Amino acid sequence: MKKSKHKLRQPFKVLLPIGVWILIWQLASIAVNKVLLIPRPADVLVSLGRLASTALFWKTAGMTLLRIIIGTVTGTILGCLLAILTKLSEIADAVFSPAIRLVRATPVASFIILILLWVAKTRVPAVVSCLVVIPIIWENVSAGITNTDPLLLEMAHSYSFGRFKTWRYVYIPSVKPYLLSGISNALGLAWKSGVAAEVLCAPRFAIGTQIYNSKLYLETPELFAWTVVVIILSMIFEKLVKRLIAGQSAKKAA
Amino acid sequence: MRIEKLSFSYENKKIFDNFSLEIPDDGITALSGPSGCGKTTLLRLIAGLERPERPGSTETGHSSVLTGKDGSELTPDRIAYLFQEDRLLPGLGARKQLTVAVPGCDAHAWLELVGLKEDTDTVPEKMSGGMKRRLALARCLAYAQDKDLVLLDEPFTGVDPGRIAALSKLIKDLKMPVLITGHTEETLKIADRVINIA
Repeated sequence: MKKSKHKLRQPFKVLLPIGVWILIWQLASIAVNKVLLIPRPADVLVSLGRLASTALFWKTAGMTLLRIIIGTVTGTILGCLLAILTKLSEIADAVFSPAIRLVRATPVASFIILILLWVAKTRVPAVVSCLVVIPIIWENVSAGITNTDPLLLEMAHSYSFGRFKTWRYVYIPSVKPYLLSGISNALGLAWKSGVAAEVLCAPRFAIGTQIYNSKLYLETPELFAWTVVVIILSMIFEKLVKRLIAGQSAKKAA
Repeated sequence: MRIEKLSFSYENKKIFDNFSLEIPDDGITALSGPSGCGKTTLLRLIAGLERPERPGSTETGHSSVLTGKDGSELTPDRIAYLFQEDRLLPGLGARKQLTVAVPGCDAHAWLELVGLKEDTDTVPEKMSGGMKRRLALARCLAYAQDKDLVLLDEPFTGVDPGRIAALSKLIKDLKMPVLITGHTEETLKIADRVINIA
């Protein structure tokens, strides 16, 4: 009996907030009564449908997705390598740790403008996403290394594991949950910063460029539609990573 | 084998002060004494995991504290140590625990000897305390095959009393010097001699 009650609750839990906020949006658009400021949800849906029926939409969304993936993957790899390096070497720690903290504290907008001076504008979104991801991954992986069970490290030493085996069987399993949580946290920021870079750099085939053009030509329903696309893509991405994390945990518990 | 004039302090508390001990280089020697008297610390010092003080100084000294009859040092890489805790690798099956720590060992045979032949793929997270202890003991004894000394810190903790006899026989059959600690009667029973370090 309780189970069926739970089954009924789940879709209700998801649909209720969506319904409430769409209703508030609809009421706000009626109250303002200016499509330029707040288009109606139906107008946005029509815009989204119109956009989705073109090849340009899929190419644009695909290219943005690719840039974010490249930025996130590169940032994750570099963040891991830097964490290992700064934990292994005091000199590397003294050199890189303040620089990574500086990158973390620098406003994303400053980065975008600076990087635009140094690299081709098509590459800026991926580079910016990468730079946003690095400090998060670095911090999480560093915490994983620091919190590695000292008793297991002592056992590895006592059983003459050697460096490679110690990393493979002691450090990596300890770092894994920290890394996955870091990726999950970094994804949202990678999307936000990547699309912001696209808005400022306006490369060809980019959601950010489309958002900028929509604003330029006062196509507010389209601007909303592209924003919805970013939100949906970001959510799908996050869900996939969370599923991966849950899969890893379940595998471990099995 | 002997330990000569060993001094060691922990958090400003003197655990050993000019401590000397003769350890027969055959059979099983049990270390006895009340809790906190330094049995585990002594094993850790012998295993090279703690550093003793140099005589007359508070600086840490050489990591080898045992010397043989001929005066040669017994270095930690010649010692197999069963820790007081199981210290098994999380998420790794029983067979893999052995092959990772002791490459080339006959994991199935060792698991059978400690009564875990049905649990070759069972991870420590799914094992009882006794099973984990038996697996840790199997790993230590497999590692000990080409070593000169075995240190066993409370090997029977949590082990089902019905299985202790088989494990005791396994330790006895090693035919190499063993230093053992433990509060249980079984620990003292398998020892050829008992040394009180209190």
